[in-house]
Amino acid sequence: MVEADAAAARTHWPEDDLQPLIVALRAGDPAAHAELCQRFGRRVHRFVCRGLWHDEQLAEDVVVQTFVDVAGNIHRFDPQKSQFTTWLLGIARRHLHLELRRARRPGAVPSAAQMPLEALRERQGTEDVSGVVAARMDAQHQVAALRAHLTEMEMEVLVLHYVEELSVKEIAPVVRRSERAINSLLHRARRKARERLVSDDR
Amino acid sequence: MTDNSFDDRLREVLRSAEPTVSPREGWEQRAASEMARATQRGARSPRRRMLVAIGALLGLLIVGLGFVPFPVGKATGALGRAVAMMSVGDTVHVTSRSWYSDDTSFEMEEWMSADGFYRQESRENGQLTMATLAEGPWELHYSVDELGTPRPWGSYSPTGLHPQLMPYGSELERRFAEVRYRTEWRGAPEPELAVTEQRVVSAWGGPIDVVDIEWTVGTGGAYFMLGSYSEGDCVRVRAHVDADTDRLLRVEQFREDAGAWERTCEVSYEWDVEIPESVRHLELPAGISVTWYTWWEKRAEQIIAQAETRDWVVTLHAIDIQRNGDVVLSVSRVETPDSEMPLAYNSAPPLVVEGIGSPGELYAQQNYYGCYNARRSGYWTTTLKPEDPGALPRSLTLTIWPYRESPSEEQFVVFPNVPLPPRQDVNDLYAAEKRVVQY
Repeated sequence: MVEADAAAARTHWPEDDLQPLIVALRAGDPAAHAELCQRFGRRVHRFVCRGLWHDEQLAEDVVVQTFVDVAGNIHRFDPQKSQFTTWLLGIARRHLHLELRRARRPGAVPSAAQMPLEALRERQGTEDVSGVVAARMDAQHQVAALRAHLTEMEMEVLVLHYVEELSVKEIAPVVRRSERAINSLLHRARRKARERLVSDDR
Repeated sequence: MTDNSFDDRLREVLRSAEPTVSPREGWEQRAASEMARATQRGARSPRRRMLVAIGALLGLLIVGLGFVPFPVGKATGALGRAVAMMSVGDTVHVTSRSWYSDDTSFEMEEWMSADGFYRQESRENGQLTMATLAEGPWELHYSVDELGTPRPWGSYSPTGLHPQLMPYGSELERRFAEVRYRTEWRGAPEPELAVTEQRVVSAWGGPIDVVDIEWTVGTGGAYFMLGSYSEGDCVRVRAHVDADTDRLLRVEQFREDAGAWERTCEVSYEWDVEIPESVRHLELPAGISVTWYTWWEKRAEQIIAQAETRDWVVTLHAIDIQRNGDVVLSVSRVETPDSEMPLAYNSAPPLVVEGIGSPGELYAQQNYYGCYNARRSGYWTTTLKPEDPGALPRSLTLTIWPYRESPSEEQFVVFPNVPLPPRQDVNDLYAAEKRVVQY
């Protein structure tokens, strides 16, 4: 179930499908606001939570602020220049980084964000969750080690590529770097991640 | 591990570690209501449209009148010309400021003149941490250690400061050379490294050439002027150059942070200004004592022997012998007028010496790079250790390679049978050569 949720959140909306939504947002249609939240809320929330693991309220504030910015600046969105999804994630990233910088919050160790066993049990619908918890903790430790080994930007690019499934071309406007820079960052991040994971195996 | 299996594993690890929290119930209503408010605020009323139109008109007027700098074209080669001008001039006054991520700020003020005057003061969060005053051959340094204890000291250097005015010239030049190398010689800029040169004009002065260099810091981080950067930082250095005089006016540094450029450092230059009399004195706290290291003070003018190669004039200024038999040589190396190997002011290959005592004992050189407070590396101090510490030679034959980059370098001089003075009753002559002055 958890994986299914994650997969749903990762779903790429074809940009053509978004045209009516964008038109409605430009018209200030309240129904469009609700639809925007429904279609992108979980994805933006997850994106924000990567940096604000331990502050649920703040993470939600950042998500709301992101959507408020989208609604207020929708007339600036130019489909010729970028995709709506990357434009949206770029806004979320800007708010997230502002908050991180303001509060100097650690963005590395995810322990505080781990799901309580009870909640996981509810989701799993089973009593035997120890394997799932162990796998998640193992992955989180590996990611914590990666974070220590990679720069913040390299880690961010890695997550955008492997988790958000964004291409190099799509990542560039989100983090405001050139495609060549993203290529280089991604290459370096992969190399470092390989070194780290291989050394973990030994 | 193949690439595909590695990609799959990395994807799996990253996804498994993803946060599983969901937004709380009710957030969508809250967001929708705030979005509606934002949309209403954004809707432009006729009055708002009129205000925007007036604002735009005023903006056009301001730009039209030249109060805001606007680009007028490219300024190809501006930074190269500015770097070349750095060693030309009488005086320069430099003020630098940098901001660090832990909320500390660092300020530095420098005055320099072509005749060798230099004053520098550094402050951290407004507190004086370091000062230097140099005039002629004398330099006074003052610093405060982490416990707040003053650490003053002074020294004598035969040449004084190098008259190169621009202390950062070499650094800026290096960065510029790197950019030029990558863009011109390799045909295309490296990823994440770019240089743009643009001329702007405004009503406030003549045309200014604005040069931007951007790059991503590689392994090990980077220091540039007062800026300090970590690997992966995207850095922009912006130089403002007076287009009429090619004088560097200001250098700003920025670090990319969340899509915005955060200023990290700013350096301003005033060229050919009169140095105020007050700047020529450094007031030390009353009661403080300063240790002056004076090794070269009485040796620089002495000449025991002198010889010349094609590129170098080599002078043996002094020979001292410590109690343990070590021979300390004070030697200088100056370019001949036709030298094809001019010295860089801040680096040089070592001076290499071989010594043979009169009965045939060999002397081994202990240090190759000693200058002992000589500012310019043309003045050297080096220690020769006898194979037999008990030997009492009456003279020493010295072979000196003044600029030995490789064993095949054949420019050398020989000073045969240089008479040796008696041993002194000290084992560390350098440390003994000082005087303490109470202020």
